[in-house]
Parts: sequence; structure tokens; C-alpha cells
Amino acid sequence: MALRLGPLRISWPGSEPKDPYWDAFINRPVSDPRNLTQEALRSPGGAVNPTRTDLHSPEITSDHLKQLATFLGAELVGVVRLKDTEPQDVADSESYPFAVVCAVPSDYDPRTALGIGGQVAVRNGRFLTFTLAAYIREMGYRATNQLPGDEQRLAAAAGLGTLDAREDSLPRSAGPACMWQTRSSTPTCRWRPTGKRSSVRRDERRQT
Amino acid sequence: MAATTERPTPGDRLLTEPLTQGEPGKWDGEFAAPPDLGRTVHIVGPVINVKPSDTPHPRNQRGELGPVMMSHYRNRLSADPLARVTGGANHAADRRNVPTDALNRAPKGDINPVRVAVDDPEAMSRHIKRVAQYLGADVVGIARAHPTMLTQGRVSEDGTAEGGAEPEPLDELCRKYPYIIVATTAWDYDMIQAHRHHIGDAAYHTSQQKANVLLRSLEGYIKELGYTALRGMVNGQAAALAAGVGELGRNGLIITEKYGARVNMSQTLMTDLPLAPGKPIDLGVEDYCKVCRKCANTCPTNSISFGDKVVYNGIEKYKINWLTCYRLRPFTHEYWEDCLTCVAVCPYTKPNTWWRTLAIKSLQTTPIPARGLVVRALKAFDDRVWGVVKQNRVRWMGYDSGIKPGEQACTIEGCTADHEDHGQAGKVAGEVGYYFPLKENTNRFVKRDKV
Repeated sequence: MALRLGPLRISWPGSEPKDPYWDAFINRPVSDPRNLTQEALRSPGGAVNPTRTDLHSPEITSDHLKQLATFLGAELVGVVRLKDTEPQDVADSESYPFAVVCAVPSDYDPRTALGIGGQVAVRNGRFLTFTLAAYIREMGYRATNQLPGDEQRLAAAAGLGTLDAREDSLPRSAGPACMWQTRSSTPTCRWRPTGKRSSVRRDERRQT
Repeated sequence: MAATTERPTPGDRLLTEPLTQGEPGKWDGEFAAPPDLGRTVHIVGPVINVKPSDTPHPRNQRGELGPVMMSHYRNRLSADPLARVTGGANHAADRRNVPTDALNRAPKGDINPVRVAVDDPEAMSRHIKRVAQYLGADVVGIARAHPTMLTQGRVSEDGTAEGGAEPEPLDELCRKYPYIIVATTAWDYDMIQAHRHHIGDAAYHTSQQKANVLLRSLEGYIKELGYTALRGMVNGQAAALAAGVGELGRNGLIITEKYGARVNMSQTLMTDLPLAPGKPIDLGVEDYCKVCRKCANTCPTNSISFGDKVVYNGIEKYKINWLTCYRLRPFTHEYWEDCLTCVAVCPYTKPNTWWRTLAIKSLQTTPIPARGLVVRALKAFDDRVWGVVKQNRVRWMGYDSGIKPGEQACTIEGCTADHEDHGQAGKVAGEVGYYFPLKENTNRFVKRDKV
């Protein structure tokens, strides 16, 4: 029951009807994995554009990639030079000298919440890395989102946080986060997050 | 309201040929009465259901709009790398780099054989709306399906109308799949201030990509519940009106309560999942559009009518000239992909703040006969405070609308790159944005309609 005062509607705390289907949405594993959108976004994408786009200086290019990633849904973004990481990733660093690491917020832990709702952060991360890698390729530089999962290590190297004792998750202030990486040959530089948001303000936040 | 019937002018085939051909459908039983689409749109006569192959993009793809337009649509590489990725797959260096293309090529899942029982459609509707919002929707509504809302055949997910016609009669489809879910995304407000610029394109295209991801996820979820979800069967605007998502404005766009005209209204999901449909809403758009005409005044191609509503294909509404709107594109593609002027200047498209809500609520709560006065007051206030057209300078990701169209300059402080094509960093002073083309340029080749 909600209190109505003309156009105003004020809900009493705890008075909203319970959603009997929500738990299944978050936790029930899918019967057909093709119904998960992230499976469709596993694609390696297309080729590198042979015509290169004129870029700004590496610091500014890093900042632009961060702005794009933030606009596409990342909460934290860092850029790391693979040669600087420990252990050194020499083979990959020749093709893709840089990694753009993004943290996507998640209300549930995708490792345990296997329903479509629980996997939303995975879907958002795949969309983000697919688009970021595709953008870099369309600018004429190599980029891939098809890499083994060492995002946590790279995220720590990029300064997004410090690894916990088990070295398998990066502590975050509120809830778990999904880590994603795109490796690229775009001339960028190491970029540590400063907490500065994109220069374009978002005037509203979604309410769920 | 004095509605006039639009008549084709002999010899002017492309401008007047309707998008609909064939015989109007005859519906009886529960579908004999037309659906309630609110105050802005009324079905007043027989409606011919539009064939997807008769809509603008497929017609252009077949070359019906001339070689320049066809080449622009099919063979052009976008000037902007971000537009190549987020825009149509035809404009990328490699179409596989476009997320929508990856989504469309991926196989779809099957319907879960174990169906979730739905005892309370109201509870399921609340759940589906909450799910859609959680999956990324900014606007969600549910409509009852009616044959007049359907297309004659299916529009494919890339909008090319491939995939063949749906063999079932439209009324039968509406009985089988009685509900339509309208779920879509809004464009970033600050970015569309740079309409007629790559920044505005980025807002528009990215939200389209996000809407595609959202619909695909929602489709997958409905299948996991054990029900069918069909995409590409429905005119999204008709469903949005019936669902109460918004009202149709003079600019031919759905104007929503929270976001104004800045929402994508692309595809919908038709389903047999038991739901409770919504009702049309009254935001005062009918009253405001009668007076305002801001979109018609600022449209660079004069595609928006200054006059009254017309009856077109049995539907009384404000009708835009889609062809003149479409035809500007080859002239401007160096500077932008999509115009969006009618979206940005609409007084309903404002930041989602308390004063915007207050203005809409004051209009909604005013009795209809007295609304004219309120609208005039609101419009005068809007013109004085907000201006007729804002020309903001917007900077985002290295794009800068303060650089005049045709000029090249890097305005980023601290950039040390040796820009081959336009030298070192340029200085741009002031906070004025430049948006190509100006109205006076296009007035030369697109005639304004008679008031």
C-alpha cells in the first residue's frame, strides 16, 4: 500500500509487493546457454582497419579510452603497459603492448549467481570489451578481447586496487565487481584511476 | 481539430508514395474496435499494415531512392571511428566490429520446456518491468496486441526486413501472442546537446546498441520462463502509445514522461507470457505540440509540418516527411550521421529535474480546455530561459563542437601529438557550439510547407 497525495506516491518502507520470480531470475541456471546474451558477444570481432586514425598524445588517448569505457558502463578503468607487469607477459606484449582493464559493477557474484540476472555484469563486461576492442581496431590498431583471464593481476598492476590474500579477487567498496581487459597496440600510457568521472555528466541514474 | 486528408500529387512519386501498399486488413471480434492510442493518435479508418520491405532503409537498399542515397547507405565508410563501431554495420571498415552484427549472427536459444506457471499477471508484469530495468532499460511498458500495430511480415534485427513473411494472419498472431513489451534506452542528455555532431551520434548509436543487447537478454529470459518472444513484428511507436510509454509529438517521435523525445523506439517483443497491459498516458503533448512548433521551426530540412494533423493510412496524427529528412544525410556525413535536432529542441527533452517534473505535472493536472493558457506560459518561459535553440559547446573524448564545421583543430590542452592533417593544437575561444548545416543553408534546397 502506498500513500497517494495527488500526483505524489509515497511507499511505506517494506510495503512494496514482493517479487516471487526475482530469485529465479538471479540464481536459476539457464536451460539453454544461447539464451545468455554474453555468449553472442564472445565473437572475436572483425579485422583491423588498414587506414589509421590520427591520434592525440598517448596520455590523452588513454584518457579518451577511459571516457569511452566509462560511458559504456565501466566503473573503474586502468591502462597498464604489459612489459611493466610482474610476471612479464613478453609474448603478448609484442603484439599488444597495453591492456585496458575495466571493472564492471555487479550486485551479485557472477560465479555463484548463474541466472540471467546474476550474469548481467558478465554481459555488460563482454559488451564493453567487445566495443572497446572494435573501436581500437576501427581506428587502425590491433586489439583483442579474446584473452585468458588474468584480469585481476592486471587490474592490480593498473592500480585499480590490491589483490586479496587468495589473489583471486580485487576488493571493492560495495559488492563484487567483474574485471575485464582489452589488449591493444594503440599508443597509450599507464593510466591510474583518479576517481574523476567522464566530462559529460549523467543527469540521472537508473532505478531498479 | 480540423484534420485534412493527405493526397498524393501526380508526378511526385517518391515524395508522396505511401509506405503502405495493398488492402487494409479487416478485423472482427475482439479486434473490431481500434486500439486506444491516447490523445495524440487516433485510428479513424481502415489501416494497411506496413510491409517491412516498404520502410525507408529497405527501399533505399533496393535503390528506390536513387543511386546517391543507395551508395550513402550501402557503400560509405563513416568518417568517425566510433560511429563505424556503434552505427550501422554498413558503415564500418569490417562489419564484424559492430556489436549488433555479432548479436545477429549468434544462434538463438530454445524455449525452456519447463514453463513457469503465472498465477498473477499483475505480479509478472511488475517483475518483467523490474527485470527490463535491471537489464538496462530506461523505459518499459506493456501493451495489448492489436492487428493494426503489426507489420505485414517480420523486420530482421538489423532492420533490413529480411527473413520472410510471417505466414499467420495478423489477428491470429495477436490471439496467440497477446502482449507486447516495449523496453528501450534513452540517449545521454548532455551529449545530444551536440546534435548534428559526432557527439550526438555517439549518444544515439550507443544507446541503440545497448537497446539491442537489452532486448536480446529479455528475449532470452522470456524463453527461459518457457514462453515465446517474437521480435520485429510490431510498429514500436503504436505499441509505445498503447502501453503508456509516451505520446506522439509533432516531430513524429514518442515523447516520454521522464526523458522527453530522447528515447529509441525500435523493436519490441511480442509474447504469450501472461501480463497486464498498461494504458495510454496524457502528458499534455497534444496541447503543447499545437502551440510550440519549435521542432518544425528548427528542422534543417523542413520535414516537420507546421499545420494540423493529417489522416494518413487511416491514422490521424502529425506526419513528418521522412524522405526529406532522410535525403539530407549524404550532404552531411562528414560532420554527423544523424540529425536529432527535433529531439534536442523539444521542450520535453530536458534534464530530469524537479522543475521539469513540476512543469509536466502542472500541465497534466490542468483541465484540457484550460491547457492552452498553461502551454503558452510554459513555452514563453522555455523560450526565455532555455532559448529557442541551444548552441552549447560540448567536448567529449576529444570531440569538440566549438570547432567550426570544415575546420580542423586539436583543442585538447596538453596534447603534444604531431597531427599530420591539421598541424598543432589550435585555439578555440568561447562556449558556442557550431552545428552543420544551418537552417538558412538547407532552406535553399528544401522548401518549407505551407502553414
